[in-house]
Amino acid sequence: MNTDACSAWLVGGTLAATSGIHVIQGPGLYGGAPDGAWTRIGHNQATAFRLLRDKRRVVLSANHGLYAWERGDERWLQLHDETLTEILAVASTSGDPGLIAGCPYGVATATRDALGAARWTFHSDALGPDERYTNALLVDPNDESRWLAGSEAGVVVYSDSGAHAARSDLWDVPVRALYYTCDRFWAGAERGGLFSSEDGLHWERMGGKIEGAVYDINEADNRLVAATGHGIVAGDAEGPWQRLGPRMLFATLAVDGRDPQRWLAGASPGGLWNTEDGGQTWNQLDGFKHVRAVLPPEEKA
Amino acid sequence: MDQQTYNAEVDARAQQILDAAHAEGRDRGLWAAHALMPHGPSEEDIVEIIRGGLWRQAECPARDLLGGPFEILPCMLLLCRWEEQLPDSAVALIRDFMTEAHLERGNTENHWLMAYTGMLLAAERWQDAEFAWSGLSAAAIAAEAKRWIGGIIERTALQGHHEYDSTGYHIEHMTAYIGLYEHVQDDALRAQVDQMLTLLVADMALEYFNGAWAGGHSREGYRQNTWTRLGGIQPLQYLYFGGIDFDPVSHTQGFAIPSVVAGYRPPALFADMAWDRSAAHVVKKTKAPRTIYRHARETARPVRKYTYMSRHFALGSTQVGLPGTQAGPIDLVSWDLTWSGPNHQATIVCNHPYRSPDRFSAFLNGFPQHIGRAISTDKPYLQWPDRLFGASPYERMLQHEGCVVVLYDIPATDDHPFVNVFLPNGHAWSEREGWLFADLGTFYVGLRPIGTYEWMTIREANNANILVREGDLIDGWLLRIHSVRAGLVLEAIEADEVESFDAFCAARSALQPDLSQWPFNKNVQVQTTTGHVLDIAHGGAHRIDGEVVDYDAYPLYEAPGVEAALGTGKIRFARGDDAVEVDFDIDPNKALLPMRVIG
Repeated sequence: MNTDACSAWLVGGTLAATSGIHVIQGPGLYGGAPDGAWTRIGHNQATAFRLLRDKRRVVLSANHGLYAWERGDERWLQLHDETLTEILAVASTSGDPGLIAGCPYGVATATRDALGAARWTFHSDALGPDERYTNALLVDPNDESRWLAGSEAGVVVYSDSGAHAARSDLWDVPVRALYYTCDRFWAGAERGGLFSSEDGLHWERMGGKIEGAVYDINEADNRLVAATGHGIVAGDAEGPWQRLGPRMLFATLAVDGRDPQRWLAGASPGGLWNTEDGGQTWNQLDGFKHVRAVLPPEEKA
Repeated sequence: MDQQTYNAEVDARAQQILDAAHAEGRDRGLWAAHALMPHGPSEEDIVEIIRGGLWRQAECPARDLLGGPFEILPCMLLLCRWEEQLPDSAVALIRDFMTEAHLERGNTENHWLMAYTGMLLAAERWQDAEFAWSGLSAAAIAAEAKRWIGGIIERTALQGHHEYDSTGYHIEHMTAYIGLYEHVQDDALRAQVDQMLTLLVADMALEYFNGAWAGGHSREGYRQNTWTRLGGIQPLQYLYFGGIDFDPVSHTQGFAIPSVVAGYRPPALFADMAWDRSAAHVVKKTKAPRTIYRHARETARPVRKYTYMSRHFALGSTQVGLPGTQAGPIDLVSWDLTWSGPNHQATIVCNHPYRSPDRFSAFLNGFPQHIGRAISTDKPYLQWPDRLFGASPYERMLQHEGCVVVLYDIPATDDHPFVNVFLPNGHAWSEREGWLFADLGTFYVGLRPIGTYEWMTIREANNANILVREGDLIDGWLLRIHSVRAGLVLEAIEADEVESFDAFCAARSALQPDLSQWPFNKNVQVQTTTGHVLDIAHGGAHRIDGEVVDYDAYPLYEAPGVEAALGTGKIRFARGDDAVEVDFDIDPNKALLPMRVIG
């Protein structure tokens, strides 16, 4: 049983059917392996939306807060303050705490105060409600001060570390997933499928039609794979998308960097699903009811 | 009434409530145990109550528990008040829970207030403790809580209460602030809390109507808005305003017990204001914009309330300020007519039962694709076609004194292309020229549905699973107006202000609403029997006697004896020689706390 936050698979999800403040035991983050048991990491019981692993920690962005499991510390540290909640997206950047957070109230970055607490500053207050509501975040790998936000209004591009915000032409549709590969940005939309862009501002639809919203994008064996409202799809972004596995709202899809045929997909509702042959056959893993965040084991250098 | 006399009366009613809670055995929960503590409970009893409230049925260490506002606040209030009497085992349980369990804030204003209050009290008390749910120091936890509590107080003082005038949730606000008033160690925060309590009690007093809370409400329970007196606020209404018979059930509700046992006493003049029925008057309030975070291009505008407090009835309406079709908290009640009487027999209200999963995801972060089913699994009545609460996005209204015009412009594709009008079934109705009239003894009411209606019944019972013969939740007549361009005109008038009921019926039915511009130009004009003209364009201007109503000019509060300019944090409540002034001393250049909760 591997519960090391670095080398284990991590799954944020509920082992019970419900989550929220009116239950005596909540979800939390679980570590383990598809063929083994799952053990909660520490005692945090938050409802996870996104997971992030960087060189310092694992970050759990959750319904009511943002938390870090620092390497070597073996305890959860609160990263939210009284202005940050319902954190739907998170990305790494430089500095301390070195995070960008996206939530229904916008996009924010933090500094530490004298007491060691993270204090958040929002960069989206001038925008409208749909523009602020951030489902996904991506830092431009070529410019750390430039961030793409998948909002309810479309892709918003923040520049100069949040000083400016511009609309892209992927607009008037909620964007729920962002990804970067092959020197291009990729976006998954509520309608219309998958889009791609060189600069984040000008987008074109890629591949065939995708049924339902796209909630997560990943890659495996030179294919793009996406979690959608009606299952997993895979393809080369030029031809039609191949639908794989059971039909349900998959919110996340993680690919094992050591074995690109092994994927774990989280559904809400629907639980945790495993494939070891690149999506041809799937098995539901016992226990989980809702899963919105999965991280594969860390790839060792 | 002088403050000393008033305090003595409140003391007596507090003891009455506590005695009844104990005598009725309603003192066994985490909230209500304050009524048990003076009676010397055994250590076993106390531990059972605490474990029952925090662990419930679980047998596990505290670190495996999840705690929310409804555990965090009551356990800390119990500890802070009774620490000397609590056995060490009980104190240890609470400390374990507050330091080791995973604590969460929730997502509404009352949630965060309760959570931050309990967290602050814990951080002040155990300054060297490790709070596993946070990892931050007690000082950092306390600082965060104080920033939020202080910030929400300033927002309220400048812009109005966010989760406003809720019969169900006002008590959670009161109990949290009273807990802070009594136990917080920070004197500056305590002073602001004291002033905040003045505003919250003023909110209760200005629309108090014989035990009921008149006017619009941000949240008014589920399927209970045909009740005359309702919600968890009833114990404090009785405690602070008295004047009605004591009810050992509704006046001993648990959420209120920590406030009932407390020493906080509001200024006495609010009780006088609450019971002043000497002359009809208008109460206006501005409330904070609703939290809408998606399915909207613009933010919500401030809420403007108008409530006509007459001697024998109260008529209240709301400009909800919502920015789009999907925007709207689900249990908002925008208008009603209230008078004294049993449940279901003293309210008239109407509603278009709008439903859409997007309505939930406008302020909840669940996936829009699933949230309709997810919410309706827990609360199916939120999408029922008979719903009488919820404030349709297609609803607009204009009120002047005892007359209100409510119009609906509903898309033909709506799931529920009709409007529900609730009428009490214990009164004899008469009909003249399309108007329905009732002689309610001390006052008369006439209402004119706009559109073809069908006379039906509505009965809903709390535990119904087969047949409902008498609805304890709702029981009355339901007039379903089968039109997407439906509306209602209602006028109420004191009986001694007209010659007779027949005279009122004749005068009212002789003044038919001008529907010549409805629906094509979306305009309706109504002349009242008192000589005023209400002119409302759905989505356009509202005029009274030809003058455009300037809702933006509403102050924080407007009522006899009240001075409360919006955006100043300075409010004066006066009655006779008595006056209460609050000044929150807010720096006008200071940025407001961002609003991150719904309500």
